[in-house]
Amino acid sequence: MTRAHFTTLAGGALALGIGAVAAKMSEPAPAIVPPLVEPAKSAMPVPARGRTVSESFAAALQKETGGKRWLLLLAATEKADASDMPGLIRAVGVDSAAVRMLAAHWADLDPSHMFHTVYAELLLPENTPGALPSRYTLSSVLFEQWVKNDPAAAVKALNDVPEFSGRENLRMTASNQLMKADVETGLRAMKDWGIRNYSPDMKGVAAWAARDPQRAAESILKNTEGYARQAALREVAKVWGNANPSAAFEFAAGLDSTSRAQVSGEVIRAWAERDAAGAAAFAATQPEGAFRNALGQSLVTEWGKTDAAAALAWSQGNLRGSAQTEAISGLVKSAAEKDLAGAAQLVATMEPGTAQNRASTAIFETWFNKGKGERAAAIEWLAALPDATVRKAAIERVQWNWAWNDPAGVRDFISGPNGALASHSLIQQVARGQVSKNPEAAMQWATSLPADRAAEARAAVLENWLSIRPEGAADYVRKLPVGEERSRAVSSVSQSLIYQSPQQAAAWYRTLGDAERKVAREVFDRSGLPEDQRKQLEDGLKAP
Amino acid sequence: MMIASRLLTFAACGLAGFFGMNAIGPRGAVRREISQAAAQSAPVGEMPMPAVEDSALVAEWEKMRSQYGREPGDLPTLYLAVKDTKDAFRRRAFRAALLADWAITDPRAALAFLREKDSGNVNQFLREWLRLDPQNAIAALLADEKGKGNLRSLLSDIAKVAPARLAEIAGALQKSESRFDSTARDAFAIFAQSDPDAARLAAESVQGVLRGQVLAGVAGVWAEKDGPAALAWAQSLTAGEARDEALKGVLTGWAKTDPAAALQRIDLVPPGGEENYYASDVGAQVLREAAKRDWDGTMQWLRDHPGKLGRSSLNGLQDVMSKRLNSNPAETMRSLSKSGLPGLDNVLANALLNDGYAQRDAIWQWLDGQPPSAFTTSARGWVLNAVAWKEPETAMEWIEKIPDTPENQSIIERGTMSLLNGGSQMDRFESFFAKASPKMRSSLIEAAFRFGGQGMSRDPALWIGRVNELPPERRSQAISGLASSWAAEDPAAAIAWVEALPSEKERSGAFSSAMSGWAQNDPVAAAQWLNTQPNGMNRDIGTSGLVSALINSSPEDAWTWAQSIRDPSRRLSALQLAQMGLRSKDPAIAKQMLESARLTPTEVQALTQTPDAQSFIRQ
Repeated sequence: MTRAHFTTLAGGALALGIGAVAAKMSEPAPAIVPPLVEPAKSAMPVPARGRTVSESFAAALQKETGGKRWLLLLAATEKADASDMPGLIRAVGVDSAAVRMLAAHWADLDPSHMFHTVYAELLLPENTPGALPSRYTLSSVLFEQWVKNDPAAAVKALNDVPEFSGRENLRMTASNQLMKADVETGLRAMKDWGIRNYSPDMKGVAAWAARDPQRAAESILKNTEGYARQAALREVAKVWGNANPSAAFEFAAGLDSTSRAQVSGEVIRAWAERDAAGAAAFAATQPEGAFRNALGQSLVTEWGKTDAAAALAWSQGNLRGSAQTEAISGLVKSAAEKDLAGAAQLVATMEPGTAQNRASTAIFETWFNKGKGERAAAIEWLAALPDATVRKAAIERVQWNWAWNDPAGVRDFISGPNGALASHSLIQQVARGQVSKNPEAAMQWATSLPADRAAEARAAVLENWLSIRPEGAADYVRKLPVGEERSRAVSSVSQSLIYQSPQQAAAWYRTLGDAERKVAREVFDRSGLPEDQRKQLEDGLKAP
Repeated sequence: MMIASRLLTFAACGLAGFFGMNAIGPRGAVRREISQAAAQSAPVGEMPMPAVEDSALVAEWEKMRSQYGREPGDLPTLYLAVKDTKDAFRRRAFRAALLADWAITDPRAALAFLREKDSGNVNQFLREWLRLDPQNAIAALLADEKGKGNLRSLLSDIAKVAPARLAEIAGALQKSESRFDSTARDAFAIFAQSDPDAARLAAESVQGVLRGQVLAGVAGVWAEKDGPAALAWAQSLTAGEARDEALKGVLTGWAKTDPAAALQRIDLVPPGGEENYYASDVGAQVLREAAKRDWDGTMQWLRDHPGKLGRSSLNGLQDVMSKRLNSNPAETMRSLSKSGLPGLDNVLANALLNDGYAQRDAIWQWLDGQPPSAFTTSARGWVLNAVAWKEPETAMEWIEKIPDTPENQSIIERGTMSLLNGGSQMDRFESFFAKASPKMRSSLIEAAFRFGGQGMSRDPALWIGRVNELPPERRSQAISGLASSWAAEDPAAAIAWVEALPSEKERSGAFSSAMSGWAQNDPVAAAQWLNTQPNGMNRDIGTSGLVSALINSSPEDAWTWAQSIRDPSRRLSALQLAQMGLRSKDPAIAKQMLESARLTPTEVQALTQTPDAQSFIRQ
């Protein structure tokens, strides 16, 4: 190699390097940094990636209209294996009909492959570039198909899958499908997976129970807990109560007192539906008061639908204590659903007292829940009742749903002529909702209320204001005129701030006058702060 | 020449280096995206365009079509036949193909048929129609209320195929019955991604209930790219709820790219939360995005601005906290313990009840390795609370493992209380109790008596045995709880039991509770029975219980009964309770009754200072 050649080669290499460095330096700074939270790592083997859809095919899927687009997809799916399915699903994008169709085929082809893929996808943050669309649709279709084709394999997969944040949802999806296909397996799976606070599809339970109610009841008691147990037992007891109530009661006698009351209650309800007099005669002859009470509530609730007066007389003669009160309330509710005026008349004939009060509450609740158009009349009726406790208790029975479904209606009610019926908790609930929107406007609303509820409403608004914008709430309090309300407000703010930050509580304290500092100091002293925070507070209070 | 050719060679090499480097791999963010997408492994080959004519499935479909006829009038029968197909894949594929063809041949007839026979598939059909002929599809849907209902759920599709019609549609829709509905905002966000200026103009033209949503959709997308400009635009809108929604959109969008800038401006807009909708205020939404982007920076901002956002806004951090817990539980717990933000314990509690639950073991393990502190005590309580809700047997095992020391007593008691979840899980008490070790039995019994329940009156003998299991110094509350529940069902038996109690202190507390439980259920019978009792301490105690049961339902009666008590201290307490009840019902009557009663000056003075019920509740 001559020197000239060497110079040329060295220069060329240098230029190559400079070019590469220049290219590197010319890279733009990343505009958007990916999420700082790393995805959780897959603890199962991730299936190998299959083929992607060719550009021409992808374009056709986007461009074609009418049936042809679907036939293209159908033809491609026919030739695809499981590993190709993610590619096809990515190509159709967010098209729920197409995704469901492809998912059904994938689940038939190789549910295990699909499960492993979906599991790996569920570990990725949503909207990760390149992730499969509609991951929840995919898991739903997977278990719908898999449970139909091979429930044992589906259960095994969910037994073996490592713990991750989406596992409980997958198991709930699967148990819902299992309950449709095979009740016993479904219930067992729910028990093994610790699913309690979820009520799956119970449509299959009645048919299962009809084949052998005792076996069904035993299986439920052995394998289930929580809501599922209650719902399933109810279904079985219904079937058994129709077919052979004596056998059902005999079985229930061997259970613990809670299960016995539950099963027997449902059995007698079913019996009363076809033969109220027979069921009532049986209940009346039970020597054990607690058991008779348990039967009575279900019996008269059912009986109230057909002969409320007889059910009431039976309750008064055969039940006692709070069981009698609750039973009468239940039967009046049943009667009121069929004939409101008749039920109200029946309640009017009752002796004044707790049972009549609860029955009046039941009338109101049923009337109020008949619809928006009935509410005003129901409230007028309630307002005319003499007992303030009944009026408040009745509103409390409906307030949560009412405030959730119709917050504006509740607001109008509180500011209206019958607003004095509103309980403290209802005013709190409305205040919370309004403050979350606009605290200043909420305070104006509270101030505009009639005097008997304005102070309470203002206190509720302030309390909730402190939970959303403490600083703004404190500013509002500082502007209040001196007096009892301001003093109470200072106490509320101090209470809130001391748990937010000792420094902030101290800063707030320093803005107060002597009398109010005393109020704040009392709150701080009662707060039970940990030692380190107490010191921060004391240092802050001493600061100029 | 030689020099020239060398220079050319160097230039060529330089260019090769530059372009070669670019060709080796994609750049910056793009490279990162691809590496994430390829998290599994690289794809192997491509699926070519399929040959429809070679497909057996397509042939099957064509055969079915021929069998039922190809005229528009034949499609309903064909549809019903497809619906009966057992195989889910075929059913879905054939139905989709049929609906797509129907959208070409006679869309109005198809819509009418589906509305009547299979409303669950109306939207799938409408998507096909929109792909084919958006203008006519939209016109048909705008013509009636049912159609407008469909349009709401198709807004995102319309944003892609006919964005110019979005404003007209949004203006024609009423507020959704679902408070979670954000379809208009989402649709305008899609529109703004593709054509920001047109989307902004369209949003500005929308009037009516959805104006705020559509402005927010545009504002959010714009602010991600140019926060200051989007903010200036939103601030220039007419003041009102719609502008506030737009500002909320700006701050939430801006937080995705510049959290500090968005957080700094949080006071520009009222909270704007949806009533009764968790973490929906602007503080929560901005915190969610800010923490997603920069957790440490967001924590620092919260520390630097105490009191700016309250506990309900902090709930916006829940999702990110759950993700962080799943990604690195130890580091996340360490960060929380050092955060100095007391409000975060509530967020941790909610995260543990939701997606963060999967890390309960790791978190517990981490807590085991830490020196005890207020944070570890609180965090242990929240972990136990979540485990008790989801896997109570596991929670019991964990509680059993906690050393039974005085420092751990509060954690053990809190965990035990969580098992019964405020009384809602009392039906599971027996199964817990059967498995509980001596360490937990006492706490469980105490928790059960605190929550009460029908089980006690069903089997009082069993519960008397449980009372006796408690150490003597912890029995009073349990005895009172049982007396109250039992007396509501069987007052005679309950009172007989109470009268036989050996300790006078327990007897008097239980007697008062029994009378209260009885009187709450049947005040007339309880009062009649009391009237038959001789004067003395027993009667005074019973009367106190009756008074406490009557103060809400019948404060006048409570007042009269209170005056009949002879023991001065019990009498004063009962009178104070009755006064509170009277004042709550009618302050004028309360005053009148106070003035007309025969009371000692000390009693009058004490009663005058009795707080009213509301301030009592507030205190």
